Amino acid sequence: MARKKIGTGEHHGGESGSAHGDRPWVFFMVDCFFLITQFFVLTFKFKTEESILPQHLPPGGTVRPTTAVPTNPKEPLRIHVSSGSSRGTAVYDVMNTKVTLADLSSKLAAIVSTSGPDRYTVRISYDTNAQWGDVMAVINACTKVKISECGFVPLHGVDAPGGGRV
Amino acid sequence: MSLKKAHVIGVEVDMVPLIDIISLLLMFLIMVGDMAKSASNVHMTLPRADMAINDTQYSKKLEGRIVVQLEKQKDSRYMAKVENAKFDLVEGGASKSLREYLERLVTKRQASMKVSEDSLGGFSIPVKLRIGEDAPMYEVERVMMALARARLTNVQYAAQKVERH
Repeated sequence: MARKKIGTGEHHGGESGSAHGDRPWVFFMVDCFFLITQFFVLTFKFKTEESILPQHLPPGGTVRPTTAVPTNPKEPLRIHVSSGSSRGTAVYDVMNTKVTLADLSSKLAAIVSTSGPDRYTVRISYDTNAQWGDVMAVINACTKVKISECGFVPLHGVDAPGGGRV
Repeated sequence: MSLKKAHVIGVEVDMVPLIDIISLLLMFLIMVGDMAKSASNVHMTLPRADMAINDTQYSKKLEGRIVVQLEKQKDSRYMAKVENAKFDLVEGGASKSLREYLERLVTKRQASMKVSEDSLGGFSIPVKLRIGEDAPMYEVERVMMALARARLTNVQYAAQKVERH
């Protein structure tokens, strides 16, 4: 006697006792496949690679170092970031010279060309509403000219929300 | 009326669709597991930096790295997120709770990784800072101060890699 597969639709009517009527089983598998595919398509996002910009903060910062400070401290290079009206329009004050982001790297390169990048430690100050992206551009420029130490000069006084308490 | 003898149908179970579905489910679970891992990252637009490098290019150890994220809330406030704990940066003044949490983490790392202080009292434990490019500096500064007070000086700023022009 010939054997028959269940659910092939052959000789099955709507009331034939089969749970899915006369629809072949493959329909349900295809449905499942489409649902899963739909889920992946809807939730798909391109993976953006996240990189890092390593830095070494000056030890101690605003906290007193637990041990003695080095005998030949580095020369501080002060950079102030003034917030622009929008991202990327900030003005950078490097040793009392105002430059744009485009000129910042060349300015820093000119400064470190005489005595080398290891001689300097950069101290970045900023307006209260300066954006992190604009300040980070300074760290990026410092990395470019191989200055390894970049620290921040904290906001003080009434400019900072909360009266400068951080 | 004569009674008919019940007709017995032989059953044959096709394993192919079963295997298909199982492999789809398996693929689904693997992908969901991967997504759950990256879901701990707060979604934000990172600042762009052409000098940024990826983890594999970074020559120093990344073991025990602490990830600190600055997350913007719906009411425009910012909160620091470390592991799965969130810290209000203003509450208690001086981000005390964040600093204390970081100090606890440092103590744990010291015990497990034998981390010691450098000559100036800082710890070499790497800290990755994920901060959105539009975050105001007065909020970023609170996180930085907490790091400085916990004597974590080895920082890595998360950035989007852009190519040089």
